[in-house]
Amino acid sequence: MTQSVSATARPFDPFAARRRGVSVVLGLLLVGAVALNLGMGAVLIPPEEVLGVVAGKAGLALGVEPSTQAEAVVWSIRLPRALMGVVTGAALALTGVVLQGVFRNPMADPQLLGIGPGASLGGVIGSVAGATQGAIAGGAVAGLLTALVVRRLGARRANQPSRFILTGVALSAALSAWVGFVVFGADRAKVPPIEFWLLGSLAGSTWRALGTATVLAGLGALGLWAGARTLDLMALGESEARHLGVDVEFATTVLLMGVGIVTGAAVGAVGVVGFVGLLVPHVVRKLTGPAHRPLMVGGMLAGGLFVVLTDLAARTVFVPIEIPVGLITAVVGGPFFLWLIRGARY
Amino acid sequence: MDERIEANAVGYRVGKATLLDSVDLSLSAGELVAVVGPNGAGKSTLLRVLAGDLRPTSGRVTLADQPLERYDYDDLALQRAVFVPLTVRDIPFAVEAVVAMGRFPHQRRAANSIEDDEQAVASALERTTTSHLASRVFATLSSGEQTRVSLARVFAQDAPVLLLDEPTNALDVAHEERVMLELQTLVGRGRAVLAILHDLNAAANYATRVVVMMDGKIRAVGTPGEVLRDDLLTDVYGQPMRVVDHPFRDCPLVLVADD
Repeated sequence: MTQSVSATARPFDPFAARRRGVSVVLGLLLVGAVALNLGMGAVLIPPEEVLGVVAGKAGLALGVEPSTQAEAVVWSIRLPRALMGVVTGAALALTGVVLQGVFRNPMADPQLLGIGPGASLGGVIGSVAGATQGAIAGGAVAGLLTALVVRRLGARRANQPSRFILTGVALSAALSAWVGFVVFGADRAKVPPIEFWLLGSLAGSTWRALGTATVLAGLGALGLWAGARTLDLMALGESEARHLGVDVEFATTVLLMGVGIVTGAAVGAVGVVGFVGLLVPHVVRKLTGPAHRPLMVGGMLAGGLFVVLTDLAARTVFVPIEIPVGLITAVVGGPFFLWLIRGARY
Repeated sequence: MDERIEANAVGYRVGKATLLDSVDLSLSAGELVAVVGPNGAGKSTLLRVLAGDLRPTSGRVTLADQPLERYDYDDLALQRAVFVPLTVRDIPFAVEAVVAMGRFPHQRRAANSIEDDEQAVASALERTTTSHLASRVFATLSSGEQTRVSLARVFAQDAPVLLLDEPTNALDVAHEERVMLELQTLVGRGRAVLAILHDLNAAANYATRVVVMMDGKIRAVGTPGEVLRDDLLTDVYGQPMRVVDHPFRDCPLVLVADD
């Protein structure tokens, strides 16, 4: 034995040493990005006033008396919106991590598999019935159902990734079209416009919507977290995982269901924000290595960071006009992704 | 004898093709059974049926006196370890992490400790001469190295029964010899090993019993000396074969002959 195995770094993992550092740095960047979001926008609010609002709400007196306007903007608009960015970004990145692991395919993400568009359709229908809360609940339910349909149509056996992808592509196109039909047929005052569903927006984020989305996405995320070690074993191949005691069929079903709920809650809340689920896992994998637990943690932090920062850009590049956040994620994410996969052997 | 696996009249049919035709086979502790035969004889199908991957369409298989279909995947993983030819080679994990995954079935048992895992992984790496590869990413290894690392994972699983489909595939002569010696050691410690081999001389030297398969049936079973005969091998492979005494090992030596 040439390599000593330390109790802390087990099973052997060359990324173990820097993993904590990666999490801390990503966490600090995330907090910084949220803080930036609270101050910046159509109205610039100085840091001490932002701090005053947050401290005041926490019951601390800092000697800064924020204006009522600052309080309204920071507390009622910008903070729930920034946190919604954190939650939805984390949710979408997590689903990318899981799907790429399940299918051992670097292309997999909820959008490609049709789960995103399915959630959109559920969100549209839900918003007719119950506005934002309805959209989030409808998105989660439809995401779950679409995931089950993908599971059922995609393969009799779990290990047929190309069949899953082809099924997803067809579902994706059909479901996206249905989103359009429902949007154009529905009452404009009730249903968010088509660009919301195609490109995403965090503009409507409220504390209530944030709560619902967080609870639903969190429930799904717990299930996905529990499957992290199983995903590691599935990287060996379907037969090998099964020989080691993994019920691959069952695990695939459960993981897809989790992905459906998490994706659905995020899409119902903010529409489809592209590239997060595809791009973020690729970046984080380079920092944390292939093991799924650290990949999930890093992915959620980085996903939140990515959406919070792109939303800041969406709000500020054409002040006072806001552009859909999905435009920014695609404009930034597309070229970055190409750069990232240069020379990769896919 | 301490029987681990027992197959009774096992058949496996896909559509009109009969891949296995009423196969009877037993595997006991302390036994190294080599399964040989031409391509398409049904060797891998038999192994996958014994492993629980395929359900036989007729007959039955018992593992440790229990019908195979009564096992959950996780109980099965404690009873038998399986090596099948690799279909996934671009595994992104480090070698030591891959071998450590062999410990997964044990990690749910309270009696299992971190020290058990570490020891099993270190020993498995050593026995497959892959310790020096421990920190390498599996995907970057050569085929032979990948075979050895996968065998290390199987050894780390530490199951009473090992089912191995061409465990010496892509190995050089020295590593093939090492693997066969390691299997002999495992058998000496009471493990039951069934291995599909194409190298008839490895079977001749190391197997306690040889099973010759052809057209989904078992054509002959017995010690290497009983089974590895000119006429039988010539007939089974459709290729003239000669069997002589090994000049310095106490076993037959199988040679490919001219017409």
